[in-house]
Amino acid sequence: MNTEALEDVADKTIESTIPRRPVASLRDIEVLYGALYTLGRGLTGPYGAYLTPDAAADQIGNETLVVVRVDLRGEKATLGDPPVRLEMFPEDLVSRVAHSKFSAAMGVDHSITHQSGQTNGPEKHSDHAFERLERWPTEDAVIEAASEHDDGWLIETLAELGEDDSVETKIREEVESLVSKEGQLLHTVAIAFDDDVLTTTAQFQPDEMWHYPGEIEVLQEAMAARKTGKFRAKNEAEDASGDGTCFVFDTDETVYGVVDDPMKHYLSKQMEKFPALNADQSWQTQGLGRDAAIRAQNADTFLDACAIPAPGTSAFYLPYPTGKIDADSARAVYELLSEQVEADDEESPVGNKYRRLKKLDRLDTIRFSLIIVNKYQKDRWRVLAATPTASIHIIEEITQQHRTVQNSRWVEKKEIFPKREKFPLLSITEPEPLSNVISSVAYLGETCLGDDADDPSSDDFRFRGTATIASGKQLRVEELLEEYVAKLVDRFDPDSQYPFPIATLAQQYVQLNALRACDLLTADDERLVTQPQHMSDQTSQTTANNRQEQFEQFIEDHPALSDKTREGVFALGALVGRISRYQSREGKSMTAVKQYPIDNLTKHNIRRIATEVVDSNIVYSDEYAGTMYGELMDTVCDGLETAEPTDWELSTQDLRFHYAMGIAYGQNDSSTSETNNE
Amino acid sequence: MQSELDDHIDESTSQDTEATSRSLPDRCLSFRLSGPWGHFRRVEGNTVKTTYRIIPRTTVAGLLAAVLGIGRNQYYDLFGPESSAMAIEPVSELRTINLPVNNLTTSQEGLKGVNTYGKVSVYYPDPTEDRQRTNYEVLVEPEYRIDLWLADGERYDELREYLAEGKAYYTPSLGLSEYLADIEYLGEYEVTAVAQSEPHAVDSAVPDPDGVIPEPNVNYGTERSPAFMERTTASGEFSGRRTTSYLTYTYSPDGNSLTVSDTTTASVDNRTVVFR
Repeated sequence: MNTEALEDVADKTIESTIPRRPVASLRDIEVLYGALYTLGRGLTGPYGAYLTPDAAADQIGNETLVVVRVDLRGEKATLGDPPVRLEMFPEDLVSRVAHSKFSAAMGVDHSITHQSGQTNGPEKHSDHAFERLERWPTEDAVIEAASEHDDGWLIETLAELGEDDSVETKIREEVESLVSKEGQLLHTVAIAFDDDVLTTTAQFQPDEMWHYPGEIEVLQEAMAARKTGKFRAKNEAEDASGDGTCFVFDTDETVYGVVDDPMKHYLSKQMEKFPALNADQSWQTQGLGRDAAIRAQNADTFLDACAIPAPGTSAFYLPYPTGKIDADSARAVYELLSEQVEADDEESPVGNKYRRLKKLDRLDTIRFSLIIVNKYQKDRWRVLAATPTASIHIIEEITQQHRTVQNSRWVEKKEIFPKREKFPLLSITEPEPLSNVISSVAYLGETCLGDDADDPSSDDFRFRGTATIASGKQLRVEELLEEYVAKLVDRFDPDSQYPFPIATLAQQYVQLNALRACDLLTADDERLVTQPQHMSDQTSQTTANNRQEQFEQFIEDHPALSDKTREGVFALGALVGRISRYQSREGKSMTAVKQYPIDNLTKHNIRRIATEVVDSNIVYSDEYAGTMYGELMDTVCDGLETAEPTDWELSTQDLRFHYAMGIAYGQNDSSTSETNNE
Repeated sequence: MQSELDDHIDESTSQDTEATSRSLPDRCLSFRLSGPWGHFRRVEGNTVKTTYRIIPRTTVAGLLAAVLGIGRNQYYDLFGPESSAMAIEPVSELRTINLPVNNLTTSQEGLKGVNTYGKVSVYYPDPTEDRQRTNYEVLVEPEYRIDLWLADGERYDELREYLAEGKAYYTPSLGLSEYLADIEYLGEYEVTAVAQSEPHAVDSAVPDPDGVIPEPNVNYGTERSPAFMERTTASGEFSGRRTTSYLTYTYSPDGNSLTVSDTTTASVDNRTVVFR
């Protein structure tokens, strides 16, 4: 796609094809995208929007056009000499050949120009060529269009030729002599006629003798009629059309009720809660006029470009102008979309846009609709999560905060939560690629477990959460921690030398604090959503002298740990992490971290586990002169003795997550060695 | 069944006061509409059952027709553009969840008939058939404040009586019959025009696509829903209904106010609303 194609198109031309109000439905987006695609592809005139030049993109520039020639200049219509030619198909012939593709599985194309199968041989090609006369002119919609047009006789003439056996023989022999191997070709007709006997279109070339379908109005009308016929007759609907109001353009005209929806939200067949829906009456509640319907059909190229795969799903990021659409905002969206068509797979539709808009200081001008779907059948999609009002601002803000956390004390300097290469939320630090990750489902996919990828559910937190964040709404911390814990449990591998998934926890730590900083979290306990002071204020960082000071500093830095019980649970994790490190070094295979896994921890057993852990620490301490990790033991005891565990307000997930955070701290804290007095 | 009910309804809805769509009424009935759940399916989807955030104007009309006991397809003139004025204010945060529901086919062939040869036949989806699971996006605890004026003085008075007494002829619901609606009558209020040309805040959803001024950090949504309908006839016989126009509502999903300019606003009970 040419990204600058709309720059020279007049405002008036653009505005005549788009809804002149704010985007207010998915249909509006489809119509806008289809209109922009048609304009960008240079498909002008009353029939431009019906054409599908990209469907035959592989044929353009090659000798791929099979042209059946009909001469009307004599008394009687005859085939030309030669009757069929195999011609070059250059780009400038596209609008004259006027191909309008229809689903290959469903029959011949809408236009008299027809695309063959990819592996058709000479015999099949002779069928296709002859069907330009035998089949297309006899399609119901074509006959009806012919009967309503002054030049309908042309179509009847073509059909008559199609009934002539000698015509069939000539065409077949000629095609088989021209085509020798298998391949995909475009079959069309060319007509020679005397001036003024046929009404022509803007594509007409007066100096040429042979004229292609795009130059002749009646052939274009019949093509348009075939295509619009599908808007009113499909499945159970025989004629779902009537005089109504267009849902997109507000125009009073013939509206259609079974218009295909590229995003599969609307099908002519569906299950409902109330009985006896009448498909023929569908136009009465949500009819689309012909222009809106045809534009919606042309949205595919741009819609597909804005989709990126997520686990078991596709996520569509559909940008649209904020507020009322005008020529300028339409051009801006076109530029983003056409650029996305050309972009490589690495570039997310949103991160890409964020980059450009931020440069132009125009972040406010674009919003996007986020729709995450599970394509469980070709034409049936299940929407797992969606928000029509996603903001690029949010993506930018999270990106900034995420980077701040990446560079904060406990990640960058102390490496309690170390950066690892293969973990994108830790290793990607440049704003552009990072914003691509943050805008995608992968941002929560890295840290949250979600459901089974083979059967994604609409309750899957990764999708729901992505849509919530993208629209700037708050997630409940309790729910997020539950997902975090599930992911950690899933990644825990007791058979590994390093059973605890430290890098996953580090990703969670960075994400949790980035979301806290953006005010995207909510909780009953305010401390859980308060951003650590040291992350926003880098200047006041003092350096701890020894292990105990460092521990105290960590507690002080994290407001969530100002809760005594939570602090105790964290310290228990830290002690388990510390002891495990000691055990590993001593060559013991059953370490504390394996013995007391995260998902085993409950309010019911936490005191017992704490007692066992403290006891084993004392046993190991006997090998030294003093007590190992005295500060951790004290904090464990103080924290867990504050009240009866059954009275604690902390949820089990809260306990487990902070226990896990403690393990990471204990395993990675290399400040000093084991004993307390160094 | 509904068509039998229709037989007992007086179709005429007399118009006894003159009004134009853009002029403000001088008074209105005000009530709170809420429920644990709501689903107002967006017309642009049917396989995907997403819901409008703002209860569509036509749904409020149908709900009030149910309160008054007016039959299906009998009330479109009563709530027409010239004969009624309505403001819709979302009062709560507009929150949704996905709710999976098992559906049976609704096509005519899939329906089971009882007493198909008698005077009264009843058709219903065959419960022995396979279900198909579909997600419904539903509103959680939606709550709206509606201000309404009707040109038909008799119906207006009747509605005030029903609302004040907490009565309803048919059970009102929020979109689907199982999502029951609670209606709390707040009173009858004077409507006064807000004479302000400067940008100012409004509490209701704004049914005017150009009126709302976007502000940084103010969350708002825009949606397009049916506004007015009329009965259709084919060969002189009643054949159904059709939408005659749509409205594009801009609203705050958090239940906050929006800033507008160049929009006709009105004051009702110390709130600022936009009627349509």
